[in-house]
Amino acid sequence: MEFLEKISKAIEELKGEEAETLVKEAIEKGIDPFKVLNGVTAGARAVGDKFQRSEYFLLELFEGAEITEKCLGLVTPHLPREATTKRVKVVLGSVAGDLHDIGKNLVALLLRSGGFEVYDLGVDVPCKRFIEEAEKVNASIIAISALMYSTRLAQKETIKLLEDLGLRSKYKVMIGGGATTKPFAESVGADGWAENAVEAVNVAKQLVGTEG
Amino acid sequence: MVSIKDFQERALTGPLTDKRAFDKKLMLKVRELAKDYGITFNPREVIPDDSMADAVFKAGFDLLMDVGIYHIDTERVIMYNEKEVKDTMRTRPREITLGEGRDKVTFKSRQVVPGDKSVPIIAGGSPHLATEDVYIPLMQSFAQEPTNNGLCPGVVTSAYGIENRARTPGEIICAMAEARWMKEAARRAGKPGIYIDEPMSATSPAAYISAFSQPGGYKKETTQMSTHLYGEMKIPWERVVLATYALQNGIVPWTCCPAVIGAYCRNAEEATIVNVASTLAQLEYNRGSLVALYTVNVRGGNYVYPRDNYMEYATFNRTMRNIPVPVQDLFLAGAGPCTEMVVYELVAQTIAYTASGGAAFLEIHGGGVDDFKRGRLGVGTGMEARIAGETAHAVASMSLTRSDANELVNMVIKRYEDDLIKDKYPTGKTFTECYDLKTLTPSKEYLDIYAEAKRELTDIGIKYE
Repeated sequence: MEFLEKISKAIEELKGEEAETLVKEAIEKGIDPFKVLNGVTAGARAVGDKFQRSEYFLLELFEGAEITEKCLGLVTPHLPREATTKRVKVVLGSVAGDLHDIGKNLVALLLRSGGFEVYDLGVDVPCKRFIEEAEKVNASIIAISALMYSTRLAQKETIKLLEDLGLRSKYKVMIGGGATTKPFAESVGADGWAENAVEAVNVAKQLVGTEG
Repeated sequence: MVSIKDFQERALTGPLTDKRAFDKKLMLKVRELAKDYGITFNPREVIPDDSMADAVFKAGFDLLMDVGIYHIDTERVIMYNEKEVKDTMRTRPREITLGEGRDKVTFKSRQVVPGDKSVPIIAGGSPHLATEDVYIPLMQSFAQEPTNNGLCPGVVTSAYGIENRARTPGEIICAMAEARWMKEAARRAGKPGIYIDEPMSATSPAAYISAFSQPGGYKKETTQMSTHLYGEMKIPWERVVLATYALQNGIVPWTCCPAVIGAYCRNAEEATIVNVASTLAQLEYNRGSLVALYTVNVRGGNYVYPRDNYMEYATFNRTMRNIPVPVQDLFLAGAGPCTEMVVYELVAQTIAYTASGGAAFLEIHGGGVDDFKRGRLGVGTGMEARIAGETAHAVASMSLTRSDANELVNMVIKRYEDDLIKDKYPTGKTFTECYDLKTLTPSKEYLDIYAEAKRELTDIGIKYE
């Protein structure tokens, strides 16, 4: 098996120590850091694919994300600065008043395994906070979750706030959560809506025209 | 049992824990317990034998002892000890009466012993979105059903021109309007004192309390207060605040366990273990006397794998012989009203939950997929409560053995399972499309569909009156 395939396989199989050792060895042997990065992201994607096939669950996504982040931490210093800013950044959270986070957590983990750089603001996030964070990290996507009917209007208000601040064109906004539907997303001017966590990754990729 | 003072103290001084670390520990432990106790459900036996249910109960107890619950605001873990939890289990009442006057109903822990012909309480309702113009007639269509002796509100989307927006005056107005409109629907149906489960339009404590604190609003005699945990095993102050308000004012707390299948829990087995742990945890701080069960399946809404959902409910009902607190099973059909499938979905579930010991069936309605995926308003009709109610009476009168009940459930599921697995839910019709709004009677089409299905169900052995 190719060295880089081994890295990918170790991440896919959630063998954290092995994956880290392989990444360190690859760097020491002078393998192109971009290729190492590809090995790491392929492993992360494989973890997400296994979730989609019901072979992995949330626990495995947690572990896969942790291993991937550690491996990325090892390889990133060896990449040119401009390369490290290439990952698409997503700012995500559950809206103000909403403390539900299982679905939002799933989306965050699957986006990470899909190659996105995710800034998870947690639950009960005020509209302005989404925008402040997106501005701070130079995000491309703002992803907003709402599980309750009475909290979903905060998604609309976040989009309105972006418009009022003259920042709407700067970001793609996607919404989701149990209280949302496609017609609702269209009515509030969201750029994308996902019915579930797996679909959210596809929507994010479509929005930025990338593989993440 | 833990006092509110002790609970608050533990929430402020318990071990400071990273949420992700708590989640990981919970997920690992539930897997370990499922393995150690040999917990595996058999899809052909939706209602398990009692030894399996007891193993699930023990696993749930161990889970709570090991992981505790997580306080979202303080980021600390609240732990209980064995004595506290066992004392609570021992002292919980086996029955409780809610409602007023001739509309009073008594929730009893049903143990489903041979000869027990008690009928679960039927509380239909469409808990999702309903607009102001149809709200009262929609709820009246449930309340007026003869077998319906409870009622469940729908979320009020707006009232008097104000949208229901969390933490705004609109939320308060809508929560208060809901209570008055529900009472009006009950009055029009001739059941003014009917049990109404919990406020649905409120999000914040202020709105929940407002729904009770008004003339013509909800009353402690008829309605419960939401005090339940968030998934999985997490609580914010606002729920403790509501539990305290309920305790101080004699309102029966709403205890609810919606463990999600496909996320922290891999399957129905693990979700049921978490539901037991969650129940025990809630009874400690809210001193509840009823526990509601609601299934969510993250892999495609609530209905994609019916057997997972059905097994979770039936097993949970059986586990409660260990406390025993009456169980309120919240269930619905994925298919829309006025379809064959909505009848069969509701009948299969009614058989399983009646035969496994459910004390009450709440929020019964069709059109679940429309609720969640298509965002149609006003889905669900009183006919669905009729279907579940008449079936519950029939099944209870038959005093089915467990194996007979399982066989019947399998025969009914067979009629729609292929479509369900393929995600082919018929949309059906909305309330305004299949009810005459002047007479509040179902359409001939819907009545004919139900009559034909009943003939077939009678042929396979269900003895309708």
